[in-house]
Amino acid sequence: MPETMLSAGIDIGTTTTQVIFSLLTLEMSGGFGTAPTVKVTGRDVFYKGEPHITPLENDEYIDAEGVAALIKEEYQKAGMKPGQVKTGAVIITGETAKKRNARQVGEAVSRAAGDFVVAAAGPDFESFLAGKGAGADILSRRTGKRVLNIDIGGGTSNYCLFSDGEEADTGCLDIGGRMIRIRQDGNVAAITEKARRVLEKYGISVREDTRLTRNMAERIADIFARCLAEAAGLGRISPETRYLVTDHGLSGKEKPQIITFSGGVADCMSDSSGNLLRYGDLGVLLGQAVARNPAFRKMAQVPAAETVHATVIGAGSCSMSVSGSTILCGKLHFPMRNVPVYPLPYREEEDLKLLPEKLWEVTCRSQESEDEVFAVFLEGPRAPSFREIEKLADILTEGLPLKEKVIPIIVEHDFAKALGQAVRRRMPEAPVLCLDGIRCGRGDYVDIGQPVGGGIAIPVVIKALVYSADDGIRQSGCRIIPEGYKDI
Amino acid sequence: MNENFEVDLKPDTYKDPERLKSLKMATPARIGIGHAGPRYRTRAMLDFWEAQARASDAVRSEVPEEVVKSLGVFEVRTRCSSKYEMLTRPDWGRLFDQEALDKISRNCRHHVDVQIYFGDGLSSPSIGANIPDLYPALKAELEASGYTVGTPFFVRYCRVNTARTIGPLLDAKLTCVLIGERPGLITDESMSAYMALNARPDMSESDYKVVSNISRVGMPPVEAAAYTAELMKKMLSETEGAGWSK
Repeated sequence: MPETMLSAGIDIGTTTTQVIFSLLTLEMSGGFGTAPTVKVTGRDVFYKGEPHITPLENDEYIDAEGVAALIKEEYQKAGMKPGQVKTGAVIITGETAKKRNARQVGEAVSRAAGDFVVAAAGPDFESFLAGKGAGADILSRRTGKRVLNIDIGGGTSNYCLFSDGEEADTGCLDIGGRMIRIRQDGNVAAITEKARRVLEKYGISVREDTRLTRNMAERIADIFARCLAEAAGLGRISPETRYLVTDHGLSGKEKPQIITFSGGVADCMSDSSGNLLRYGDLGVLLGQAVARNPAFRKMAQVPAAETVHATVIGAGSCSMSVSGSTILCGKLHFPMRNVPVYPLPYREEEDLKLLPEKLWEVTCRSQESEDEVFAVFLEGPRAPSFREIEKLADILTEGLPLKEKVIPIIVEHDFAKALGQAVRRRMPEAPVLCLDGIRCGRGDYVDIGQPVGGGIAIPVVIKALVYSADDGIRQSGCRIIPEGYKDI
Repeated sequence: MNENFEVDLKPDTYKDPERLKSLKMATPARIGIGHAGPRYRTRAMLDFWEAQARASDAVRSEVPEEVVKSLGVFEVRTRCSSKYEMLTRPDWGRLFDQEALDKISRNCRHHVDVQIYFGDGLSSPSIGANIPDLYPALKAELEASGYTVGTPFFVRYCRVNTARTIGPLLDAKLTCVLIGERPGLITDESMSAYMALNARPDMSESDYKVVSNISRVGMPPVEAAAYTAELMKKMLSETEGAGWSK
C-alpha cells in the first residue's frame, strides 16, 4: 500500500525566492521471498509558487524577516501548514549563499517549514538539484548518453553532468543574469567585481553609470556565453573562465553528448521579442547570447523539463533518498540534522586491519570540530562473510563512542541489517542506527528523517554544506535571526 | 532550440561500447551477447552450455561428505536412496525411515524455540556456499535475543516438507530448513529459508514463510540471516501469550 509524503522545496536564490510543494509516493516493494524495500515511485508537483524577488537587507545580509513573510504567504496560498509537510529542502543558492546570515536563515526556515525539511547550500548540491529538477538525470538514463544540465540563474551557472541517471560531475561559474544590473535607460546600475575584471581584459570598461549601447551589451553577453561554453567542455578553457569558477569546474574527463538549459536565463534563450532590459539586468541578453553561441549550437540540445523552477523542484522532490535495509533500536530522535559523515576505507577484508587507526583519527577529528553527532560511511564488499561482519562490529564498537551517543553507520552495499544486529549484540543497551543503500563522500552531511514503511526504511538527504568562508555562525546572533520564524 | 541537429533519444547501444558495458554491469542477465546470423555466437553458446551443465550438476550431484563434516553437523537421509529417486519420488523426499528419526531424536536438543537444519534440495553447491555465513549469523542473532536454537543437522535428498516431520519430532516452536533452490542459468548456489510455526504433518505449503534468492549474487548470506532472524523473531513474538495450540 503506497504511503505519501508532502514535500516542500524552497529556493532562496540570488534574484528570486521560490516555493513549490509536491506529493511523494513511497511504495513498498518485495515481500514475497525477498526483503521488503521502500522506494519513491511518484513525484507530483502540485503547487508552483511565483518567483519573488529575494529580500535583502543590504549587500551582506539577507532580510530574514522578509524571507519569512514571503514563505508564510506561499504556504497560505497553497493552503499548506508546516505540520503537514514531512520532507523537502531549503536551499540557499548563488550569491545569496555568500551572505553573512545565509546559514542562520536557511536553518531557521527549514525548522519552520516542516518536520524534515533540510537546510542546504553549496554549488555542488545546487547543481545536482537543478539537474534533477530539469530532468537531465532521466534523460541520461533513457538515452544512455551523457547529459549536461546548465542552470543559469541570477548569480551563478550550475553544471551537472549525468551518466546513466547518476550524477557524474558538477561545477559552478559566477556567471548569471544579475552580474550586471542595467537600468531601463541603458545605464549600468551595478556590476560584480568578477564581471568588471573580465570585461577589462577585453578593453571594455564598465562600472556604475556606464551607458551601454545595445551592441556593447550584446558583445558583453557573447563573452560570458563563450565562458559558459568553455566550462561545459566545448573549447579550451581561457583564463577568464577559470577566474569565473566559483569553487570548481567540471573535471572535463567526460564530454557531454546532450545539453539541457535550466534556470531563469534559459527561459530568455528563445525570447526575441519584447524589452531586452525587462528584468533590469543582463539576463535576456545572456540567454540570447547562449542561444547563438557557435559552440553550443554544435551540440545536441534538448529542452529541460523545468527551467526557472528546476532548482526548487529538485529541492522539493528529488532531495530525499530512502535507505535500503535498516536497523534501528533504542532511543533515537528524528530528524537528525546536519550530521557530518566521515568515510572509512573498507572495501575488502584486508582493509579491516587499518580500520582501528582510521577510527581513532575520525573520533579525534570529530571531537576537534565539536560535532554533536557524526556518522560513519563504509562502502564494504558486496557479500561480506559472517566472520568479517563480526570483526567489523568488534572494531566499530571498540573504536567509536557508541554508548555515549548515536553514531549512524551508513553502508553502501546490502549488509546493514547484519552489521546493525552484530553491533547491537555487543552493546544491547546502546541505541543503534545502521542503514544501507546510501552512498556518501568526503565532506558530505546527511539529514535523517522519521522511519517510513512501518520502520523498515529511513529517509535520508545527502548534501554538502558550504557557506561562504566567513559565515556568520560565530557572530552575535541578535540581528541574524529574527523571532518571527516560529510561525511561518 | 537548435534546428540543425536532430537529437537521437533512442539508446544506440551497439555504437557505444561504453553504454553497453554499463548496461551489462547493471544486470546479471545475458544481454548484449550479439549473434551470428540467426544464432548465438560461439562464446555465448558455450556460456549457455556451461551454465546449463552447472545447473544440471547442481541438481544431480551429491553434497560431499567433507562439506558436511566441515559444517560440524551429523547427517541423515530421507526415504530416498539416490538423487534419482529424490527427483522421481517427491513424496519420499519428505519422509524418514525410523532409523533416521531415531538418530535425529537422539542427537538433537528437544523443546527448542527454533530448530534449524540444512537440506540439499535441488542445489548441492548451495550448502557449502551459504551455510558457513548464513547459519552462524542466524544462530548468534536468535540466541542474543533470548531464543533457544536446536542442534543443526544435514538432510540428504531433502524436500521442504521434511519440516512437517522434524518440527513435531523435536517439539520446536519454529522449524526452519535452509535448502538449495532450483538452479537457474545465473547461479547454481541459491538457497531459500523455509520457516514454519508449529509445523505439523497436515500443514499446507502456504503455512511456510520463505526468504529466497540467498547467494553471493542475490541477497548476501549474512544479510539474509539478519533479515530471516528478524522475521523469525516476529513470528515467535506473535505466538507468545496468544494461547496458541497445535
